[in-house]
Amino acid sequence: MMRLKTIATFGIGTLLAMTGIHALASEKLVTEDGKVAAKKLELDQELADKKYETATFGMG
Amino acid sequence: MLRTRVGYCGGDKEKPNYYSLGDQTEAITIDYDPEVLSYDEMLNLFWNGHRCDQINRSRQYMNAVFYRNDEQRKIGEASLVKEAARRGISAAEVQTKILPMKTFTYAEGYHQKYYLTRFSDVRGFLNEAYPDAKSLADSTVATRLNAYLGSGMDLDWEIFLKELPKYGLSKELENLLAQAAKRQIN
Repeated sequence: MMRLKTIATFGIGTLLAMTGIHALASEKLVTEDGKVAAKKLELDQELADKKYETATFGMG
Repeated sequence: MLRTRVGYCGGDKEKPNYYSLGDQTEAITIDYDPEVLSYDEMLNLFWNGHRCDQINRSRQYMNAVFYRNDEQRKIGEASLVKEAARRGISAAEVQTKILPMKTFTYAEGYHQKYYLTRFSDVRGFLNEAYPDAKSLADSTVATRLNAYLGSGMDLDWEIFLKELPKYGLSKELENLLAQAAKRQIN
């Protein structure tokens, strides 16, 4: 009986973990579009339309 | 610096994600005010932040300058030569790559402003204001909080205190952060 309980717990645990990983992996990702999406907070509003340039680096 | 975001670029794989990157590389984009900083100065910060003669671990984790146009490519290539000379090595020995950015895909929300995962109140507030990965990543407020609270860098807390009321936090959170900032200053 104890062994069955362990197997059931392990099975359910694995299923939950896989569901969680799938949920994270399936987040719909977007590509850069040159627009600043954050405009709700005051400082973000102030800076959203400010002229800027962008640098991109791979950091090892 | 106005904003920072993490994501994937430099490769051809379409719709990359953390679990399926293909030939894409993990990267950071930094929006900056060109009236305050030049691209050349940004590159100096980048070269000073890593060992350019270190062999890249993989395509996923690679030291690289990803250029967005021909002007950035030229400045990037010139800066590589300059950095090699500064370190007393030949340009051919530099392992850091100068590559076209191609498309930049925002990384998953839980990768953005990662240091703030240790500050659940702040993270919770920001997630409510900006529930999707793009808006959270595009937020200057989130970028600043991430840098001040989590990066461990030596930053100017006087500026933080001055800007804090514009972050739009709850009074309770604002007071807590103001106290923490004052402790850093004293």
